[in-house]
Amino acid sequence: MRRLRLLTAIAATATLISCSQQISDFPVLEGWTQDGEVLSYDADNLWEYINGAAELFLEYDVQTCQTADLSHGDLTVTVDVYDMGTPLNAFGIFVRERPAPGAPLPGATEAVVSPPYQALLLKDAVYVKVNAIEGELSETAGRELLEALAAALPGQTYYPAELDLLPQTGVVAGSQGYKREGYLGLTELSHCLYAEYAGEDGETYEGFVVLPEPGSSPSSTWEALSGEWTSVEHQDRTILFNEVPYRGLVGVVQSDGSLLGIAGAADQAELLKRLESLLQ
Amino acid sequence: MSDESPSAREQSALSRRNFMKVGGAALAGGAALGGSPLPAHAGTRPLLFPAPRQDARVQSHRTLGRTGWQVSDIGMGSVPLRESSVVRYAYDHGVNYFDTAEGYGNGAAERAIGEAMQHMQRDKIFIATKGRMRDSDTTEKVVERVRQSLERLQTDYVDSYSIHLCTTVERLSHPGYHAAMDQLKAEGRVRFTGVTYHGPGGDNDDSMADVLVAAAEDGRFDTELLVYNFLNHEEGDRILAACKANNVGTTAMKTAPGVLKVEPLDPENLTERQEQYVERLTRRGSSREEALQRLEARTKRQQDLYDRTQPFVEQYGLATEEQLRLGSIHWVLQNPDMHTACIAFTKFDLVDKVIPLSGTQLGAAEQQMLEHTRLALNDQYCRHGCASCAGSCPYGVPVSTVMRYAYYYEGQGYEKYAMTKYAGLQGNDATPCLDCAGDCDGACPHGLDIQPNMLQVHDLLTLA
Repeated sequence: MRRLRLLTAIAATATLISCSQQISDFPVLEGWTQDGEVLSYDADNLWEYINGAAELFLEYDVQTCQTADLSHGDLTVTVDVYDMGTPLNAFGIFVRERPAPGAPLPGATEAVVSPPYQALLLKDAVYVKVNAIEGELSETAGRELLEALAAALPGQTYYPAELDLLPQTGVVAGSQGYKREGYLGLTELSHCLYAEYAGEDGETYEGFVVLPEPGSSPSSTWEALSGEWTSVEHQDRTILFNEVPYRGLVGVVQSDGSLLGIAGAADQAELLKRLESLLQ
Repeated sequence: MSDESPSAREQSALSRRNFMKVGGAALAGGAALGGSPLPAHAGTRPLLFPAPRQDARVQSHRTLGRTGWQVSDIGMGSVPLRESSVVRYAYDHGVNYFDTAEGYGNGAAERAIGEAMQHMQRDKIFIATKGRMRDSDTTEKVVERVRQSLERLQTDYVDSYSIHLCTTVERLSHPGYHAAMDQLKAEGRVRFTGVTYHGPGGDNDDSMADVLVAAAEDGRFDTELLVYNFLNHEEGDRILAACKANNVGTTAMKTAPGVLKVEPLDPENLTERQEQYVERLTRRGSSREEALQRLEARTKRQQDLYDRTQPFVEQYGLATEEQLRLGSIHWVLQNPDMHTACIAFTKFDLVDKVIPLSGTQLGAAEQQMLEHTRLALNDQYCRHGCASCAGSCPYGVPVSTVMRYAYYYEGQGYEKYAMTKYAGLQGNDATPCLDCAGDCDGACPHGLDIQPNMLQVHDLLTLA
């Protein structure tokens, strides 16, 4: 029931969350000088700025990108502020683009500094990418810059509420992600939260939750999968599973009004065992 | 391929209802067409390309210019890539050209290809990656970035490293890039150089053709990645000619543009999706009026894209978005001067759908059929935003507007909306056409027979 209540709460507050955020002004940072004007892009013309890389942002429903060059001493950086519309979309693309799991940062949800060129920041529905174009971005300078940016940006610092839908037992910290389309390379799996889990055998496996398509229910996703995947009964539950090329079996089960799944099982026995583990 | 003979197709006429779907607003019928034989419509004609198959393999290879590489005619793009198993799947189906960039997913696409590398024979694949070159990028910086790409790709060398998003002819001579390439080639880390460009985004940018023709003639670039599709090939054809003359390898991107459906805009009665769009903009500081203006401009762009797509849709016999995508790719593959077409494979089933297109060429019969369809459509397609006939009607009937409402009705299925809009014309509708001598005859520069079409639209939108 916990998951069902959470799903309902997320649906009810989604509008409030998105309406509360306004990214209309580019952050002004003390000690930093803005070089040139702030350029703004949206989903229609983002490719003009980042070329083919825009496709990933479109997948995550980018709303706007504001970008400007900032200078401080010998260091000049380009700061790209992406408003992704929702915290979940911002989290999803942040995880896709970060080179490694990030760390907490005051005033932000998570941040990664990759000296000497780059720093990334997640806060609420905003994803910020900083690239050094003159000089080198040290770990300290990167963190200070990200802290200043975080302080200047509106929004909350906690992770998207949807992440609580993932089972917490055995989850590998920092492994959570969100794929809006084609999870595991499968057209039928979209809007999936995923994470690595530590199994009893010492190996890790990937667990996931299928979020309902906007405007539909988890049961409609289940029904769609029922028509394509193999069904098996196990401990009074119906399990649907399918084979993913080179990755073994992927399976899902209905639980508390949502769809839970695991990927990468070597065979049906392992699939059932891991699903049981995930359901506990 | 179709086993129906061209002559049989030519003899089958479009139904009135189907023909109106053809050109967005073009109308037809026996009287309107003057008995012209027409090919059958999208929904009834067999497709020109093969069906998806999981066991399909690449069937055709082409020489990638002076690199001498035999590349699969279907290559793999990697922009939103996360699943390395899809890379492996494409490879196992014969794809041997993989395009990526440091900027795709901030290196994530390169990492996904790198994860698949252990399952691929390195010397059997061509890895093309790229990076943006800023004015401040020194040789050392470029070298370091290439090394990071190599690390992500889990390989000792890349087959080509290109200037990504090269927006000006001047940037082709980026000193840091060329010095870095000289060094990396000497070290065996990079084999060939290249350039990629989508087209101008700013006022100071040069056109795609200016940049890429100059690059082909420059002599320092071995490969080019360019936008090429049925909607945007004039510039591409110029570039391909230059590349052919200079033996430069060519790769197509953005192969599948076009849309099959556009939501009409009534500012007084927005759809739920349009209202959401306006809300998003107003939340970010725009006034509602500004938001509506942007929505209108956006709808117009979509409309224009739709209208430009329609003749191709009809020629190829396409009825769904997926067919449009496959038909578009198939069209690109017909040009032997385009050596490979980059397809963003992010899902297994897309590989199953696209690979069967490899090596498929239109036969003489199919080409003849396309030409017949093209000619037939050419004088029956009311072009959005044209309005060249405006002023020819002594009664002031807004022909292009009326045709648009017909397209809302038949082409897009917004029947009630179309009839309401038509009724809104009141005394300005096509009623005068009933008794008119036809002063509009010959007013359409594209040969559309206006009066008969007006009469049919009037019947349609008034349920006469």
